Amino acid sequence: MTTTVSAPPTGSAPQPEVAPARRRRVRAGTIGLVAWLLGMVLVPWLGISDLWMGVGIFAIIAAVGALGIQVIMGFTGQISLGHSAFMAIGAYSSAWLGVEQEQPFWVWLPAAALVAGLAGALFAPIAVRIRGLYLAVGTIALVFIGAYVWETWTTVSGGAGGRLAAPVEINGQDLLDGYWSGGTQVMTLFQAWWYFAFAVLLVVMVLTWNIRRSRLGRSMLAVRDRDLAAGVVGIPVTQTKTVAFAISSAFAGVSGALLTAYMGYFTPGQWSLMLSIDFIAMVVIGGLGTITGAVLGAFFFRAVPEVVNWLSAYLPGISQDAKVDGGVTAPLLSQFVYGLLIVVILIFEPRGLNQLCRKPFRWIQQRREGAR
Amino acid sequence: MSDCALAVHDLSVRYGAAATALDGLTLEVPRGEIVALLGPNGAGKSTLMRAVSGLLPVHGGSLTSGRVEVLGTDVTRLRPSGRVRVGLAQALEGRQVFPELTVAENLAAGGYVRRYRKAEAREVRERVLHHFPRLQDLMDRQAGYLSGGEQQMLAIGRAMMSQPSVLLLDEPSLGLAPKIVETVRDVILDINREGTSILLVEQNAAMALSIAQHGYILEGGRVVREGSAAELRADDDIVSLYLGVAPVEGAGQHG
Ligand SMILES: Nc1ncnc2c1ncn2[C@@H]1O[C@H](COP(=O)(O)OP(=O)(O)O)[C@@H](O)[C@H]1O
Ligand SMILES: [Mg+2]
Repeated sequence: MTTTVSAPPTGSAPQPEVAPARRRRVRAGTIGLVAWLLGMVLVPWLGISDLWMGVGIFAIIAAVGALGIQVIMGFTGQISLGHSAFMAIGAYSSAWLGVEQEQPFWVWLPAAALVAGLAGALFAPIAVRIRGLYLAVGTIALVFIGAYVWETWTTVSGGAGGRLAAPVEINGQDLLDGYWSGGTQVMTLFQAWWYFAFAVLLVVMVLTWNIRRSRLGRSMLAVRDRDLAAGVVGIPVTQTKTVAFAISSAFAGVSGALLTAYMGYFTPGQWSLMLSIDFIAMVVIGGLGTITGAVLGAFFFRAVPEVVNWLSAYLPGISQDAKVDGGVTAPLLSQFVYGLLIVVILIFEPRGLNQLCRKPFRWIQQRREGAR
Repeated sequence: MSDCALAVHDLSVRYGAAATALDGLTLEVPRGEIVALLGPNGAGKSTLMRAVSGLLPVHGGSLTSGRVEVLGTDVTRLRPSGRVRVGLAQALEGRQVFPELTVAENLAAGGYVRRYRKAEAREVRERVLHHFPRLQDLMDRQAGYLSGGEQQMLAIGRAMMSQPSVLLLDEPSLGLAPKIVETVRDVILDINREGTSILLVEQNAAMALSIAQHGYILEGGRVVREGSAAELRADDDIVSLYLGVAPVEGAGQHG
């Protein structure tokens, strides 16, 4: 009867703190959005090390995939563990088009979305008939079918050894060499890739935003929260889930294509179940059902382990490398602290980072109103 | 038959292998009228609603016989969305608003099958909100945070957004304070006066019979009694059986 996943605040108990009129909340959101956009544009010029720029680029690319999970899980309430399979489909179709067919990125990138989206639409008729745990298991199957296909279809995948990814070429220059003009390098590879990935993320964010505000978006949330009531007002429940599946898979495809293009080379082994679970973790930590939540979650998920790793260098008794005797190593500590942090965040604010970030705004607002 | 807003003929329903929930039920809602459907818990009232609106499959139920007509059109084989298009709308038992959507978005969702253009949607919404002035101030509020009475208003308002000819209401007074029940009753009357035919399922028989023209009494999936509201109100058995169990505050209402 119930949908698989629903965002936490569905209770009927009134919570005055979270029930302000929409309009006011949008204002705090607008300030945050503008600050974030400015920050994203400035970051490449702040002299941040290549290592951290790389982490940021991975986060941006992950955010694209997280938005896909947000559409199917956050908006529509359907759990999908097959996200990594659709990322793989995007990756392989873009690589084939970009390398074998020598197509430019503005062909292979939309094509990755299209092919993965179509694959999602093909799988959807099965997925929308199963619910809850069964749906989760059904989508896991996709990952294993995918793994088998990539390892056996070596002409496309290059076999277990992997293959070259599609290059991003702008004005005949591969972005992995940075961006040059008149013999001087205008942008490093990290600066150039940061902007390229960010531009794609912005497009996907705007798309998601429009979906959320549209008739389709309303239907998705209606299906997620009350599928019976959705049916009774005439919303086609099955069709809505199908479309959500296709859109989600298309975003996964874009994320997969970007990821591999940035890495330059990829193997069948990387499209694991764990990758799918990462994306679910991102939207849960970030906040289910919101665009901000997906982006925050992706950045948190990609950046925090690195931060912990880096901090651990300043802690006594921690070795930076794996030790034979099994002492506490930085990667081990990183995993531990990281897991703890997730638990603490979700206990403190079950609706995720998105709501956590809004708390100070709300606090200031209440102060101001109280003063009046 | 075609002068009926809603006609249900010889309807039988069964859930899985369980006993029959409805057994050869026949019922009519004449155009422009309010018809009350009364009966104890488990009588099959909600089952009838599901059979009419097409939601039986979702509950694991199926029709074993019978026909449902809306405005003379046979809708028995139509999906729920098809039935809404023909002119049927329902407010479900327990309200079931979309808690994460705002009041405005809930209303918009109610107009889904009509594919209104912007101006049109606004116009229809104005007309619907005219019945629910309270909702006007809550448009940007998430529906999950409304009170029970407000949610009931929203559920009825959402159903009205498709501009139905026939409205099904499943226990709209359930769990509401007496004062609010009175407001809901007035709203139902208002909506009916503007031309919408209504099938009103209630356990609060006094409230239902105070505004209905006609009533059916359901027990064990069969109609055990049928008559004009005045007749049913006057019948001693019914008064003791159904009006007796109705909340006291409901009984005092049509005095
Ligand atoms: N989803 C279901 N599955 C199996 N039996 C059901 C289901 N819904 C209702 N029933 C049974 O059908 C009968 C009628 O129930 P219902 O229509 O809900 O009655 P009412 O609305 O009058 O209280 C009851 O015996 C109930 O147990
Ligand atoms: Mg009932």
